[in-house]
Amino acid sequence: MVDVGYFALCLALAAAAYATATSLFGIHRRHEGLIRSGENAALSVCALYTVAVMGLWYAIFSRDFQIQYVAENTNAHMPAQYMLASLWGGQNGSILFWGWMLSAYTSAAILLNRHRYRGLMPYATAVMAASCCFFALLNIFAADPFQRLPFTPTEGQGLNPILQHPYMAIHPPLLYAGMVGMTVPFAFGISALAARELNNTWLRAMRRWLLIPWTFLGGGLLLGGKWAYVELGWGGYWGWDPVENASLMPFLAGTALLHSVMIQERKGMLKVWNMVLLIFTFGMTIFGTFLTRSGVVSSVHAFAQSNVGPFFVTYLVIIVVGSVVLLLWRLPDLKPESHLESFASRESAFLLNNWILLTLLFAVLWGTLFPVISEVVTGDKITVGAPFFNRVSVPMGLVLLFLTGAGPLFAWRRTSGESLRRNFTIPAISAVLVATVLFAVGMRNLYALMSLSLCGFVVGSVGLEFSRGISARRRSTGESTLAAFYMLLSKNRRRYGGYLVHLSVILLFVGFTGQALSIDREIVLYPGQREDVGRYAVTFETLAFGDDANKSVSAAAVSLEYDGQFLATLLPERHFYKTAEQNTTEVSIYTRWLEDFYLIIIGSNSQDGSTKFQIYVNPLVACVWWGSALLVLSSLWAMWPTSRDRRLARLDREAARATAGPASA
Amino acid sequence: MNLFIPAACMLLLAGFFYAVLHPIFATRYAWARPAGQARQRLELTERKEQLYASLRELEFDHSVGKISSEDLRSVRPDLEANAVEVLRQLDAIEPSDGGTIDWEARVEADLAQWKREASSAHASPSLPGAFALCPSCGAKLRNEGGRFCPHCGIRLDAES
Repeated sequence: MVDVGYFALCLALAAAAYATATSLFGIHRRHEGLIRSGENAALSVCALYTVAVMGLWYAIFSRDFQIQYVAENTNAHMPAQYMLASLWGGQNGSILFWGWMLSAYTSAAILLNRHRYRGLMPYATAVMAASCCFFALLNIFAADPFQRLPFTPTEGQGLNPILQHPYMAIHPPLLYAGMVGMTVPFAFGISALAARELNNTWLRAMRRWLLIPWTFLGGGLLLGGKWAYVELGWGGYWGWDPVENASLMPFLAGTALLHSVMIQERKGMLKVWNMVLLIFTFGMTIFGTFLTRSGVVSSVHAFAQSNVGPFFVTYLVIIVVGSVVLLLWRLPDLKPESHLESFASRESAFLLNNWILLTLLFAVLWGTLFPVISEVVTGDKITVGAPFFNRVSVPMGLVLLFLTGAGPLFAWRRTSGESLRRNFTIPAISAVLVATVLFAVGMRNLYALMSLSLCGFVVGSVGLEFSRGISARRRSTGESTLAAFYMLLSKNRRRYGGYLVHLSVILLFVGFTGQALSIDREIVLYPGQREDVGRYAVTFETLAFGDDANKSVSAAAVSLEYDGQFLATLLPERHFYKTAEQNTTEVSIYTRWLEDFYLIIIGSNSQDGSTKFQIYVNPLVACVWWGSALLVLSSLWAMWPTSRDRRLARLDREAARATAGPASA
Repeated sequence: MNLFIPAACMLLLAGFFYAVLHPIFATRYAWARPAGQARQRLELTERKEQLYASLRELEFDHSVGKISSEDLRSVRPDLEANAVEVLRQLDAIEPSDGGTIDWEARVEADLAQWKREASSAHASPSLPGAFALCPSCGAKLRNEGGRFCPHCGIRLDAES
């Protein structure tokens, strides 16, 4: 099965190369048969990748330790779910998984658009297949997951213990789906440039394919945060690690693009800017992958140093140079159809949002690359830590939060002073009210006050939009409030789905603000000893030890009280993985409303039974998880096809049918 | 020797060759980008949909008090003029049956039609801010409760 998998991978490379060449040749010869052949070849890449992935999974589950990847990333005692996840736990397997996802995206884009966008699809197929070609090439020549060892070890090294967590089975695939998926909108952008079809059709073709990976990226990032929170045991969920940053950067660029694309759709402005943003977003996914996999930056997530770096650099240079040349060539076709009419307009708010997002992106990029740059310039690797990122991102985050609320209050084109005054009144009152209440209850942290007041501002803004819409529907239809709310969301998915996304942003910011209010304590306790932590109290009951084939465990029982009332018995653990010879902490968390009591064992003395604990009280942290869920759900709601989409899709198909003529070749 | 491996590889190869060769011999028409009238119609319809969406949003925002009448007056004519131009171009591709058409009224009627549809089946007969215009010819209707348009004679209650 392993040999069949390797053969399928080689055939996938050939199929992807064939799909690229045949699509381009088919365009040149205007031969539909060749173009369809190229599309089928691209579809077969997915089938072949599936066989290759099954081949590797077969090797993993049959514990074929002669396969180097299996020996390095699994062992005989790993539970089945982590055997499954070990496909993406190591460098070579994860690149295979990446290629598989890319081929699946390519197939989905081809199948869903088989009878639409016929002017764009052959080019898009060529771009997506070329990308598949690169990853297959990488797997075969630099990161072979099927490589055999000259001997068969009796036991494998096992998956990195910190990766043996349920969230790790979901978080990387989600993040990959986000990073990989950006290939499809990029392919549509390049196809629009190459085919010189730069009207709104390509934007329509691209928009949903941009929203899908954007949602996956957002969900993946936040799920990664959840994994870090419950697994890494440092009390937080975001550490500005280079690999986290590598996924954040395309997400920021994609967010900017999602907003500025709306201006192009409505007013025919920013055509060049949107193309640049699209190329940049895709480039960032490849650059992020290069950072993660080449070993140029140190990270808790990074894969071992390997020789894939030069491949990625070459690929990135080809993408950037090729795209920029194509863009420059088509520059005369990208002239704006109108101009900014007023600074007091939705367009201006979106533009400002674009600039802040990109400034934040470049700050993150600078901080991420600073160790590399400093090493090249001075010879010393100077790492930029979380304080730098926080100092830069907090003020910019607050401006973005303000724009999240202010943007919808502006009308397209221009807004009069009277409208602005009327629209800003309720959100402003809401912000002042929140600030006053928080100040009155004793909050003195300036950033927390500003952030939560701005959240109040956004709630006021989004609430105003919904209440106006619901009232209008109730007046005209007599519907109940709930029915009017549902109908409002259904009848205008993009607008009100977008507002729901803004609500999820508020929840996220409320959660982020909680970090500024958290309590952090380190205490040593003897069995039976009690200690107060704010309004909580902990009593160390006992310490127990256990052992299985994979790991040895020390576990503490700690009873938790709040205002003298018993809440729960917490059971934090510390694991020692025998094969990897690595310690990990298993956090115990008690969630009370939106607040977490977070307990970790740092170490224990087996002679006197004393144990050192790290305690975090994290207020509002649950808002981050609820915000993540709402972000994903509301994005799905906003991207769901509307009757207008279906009408235009029918016209697309009719236009494609009407132009199909007899073969000339 | 295990025959499974060569057999499976041959099967994959055969499947691949069938998938890529079949369309070359089976497809009998040339590839062409959407062009001519079909493409023009698509582009114009896309533009029309976009302009109508903007007009609807504008009307809606005005009706809920989000934008002032001054804003409405300053923005609407431009959008309406563009929509009329697009309708004219669409009509040039597919001429309608009637004689002279009042394009401004057609835009108003289309928007009124959308408003009725958006209000769903529960809509009351007199919508606040709804246009009292005939959905067919766009003429203003003096009697909103009337069953027929006094200008073109179309049955009004059948439309709603």
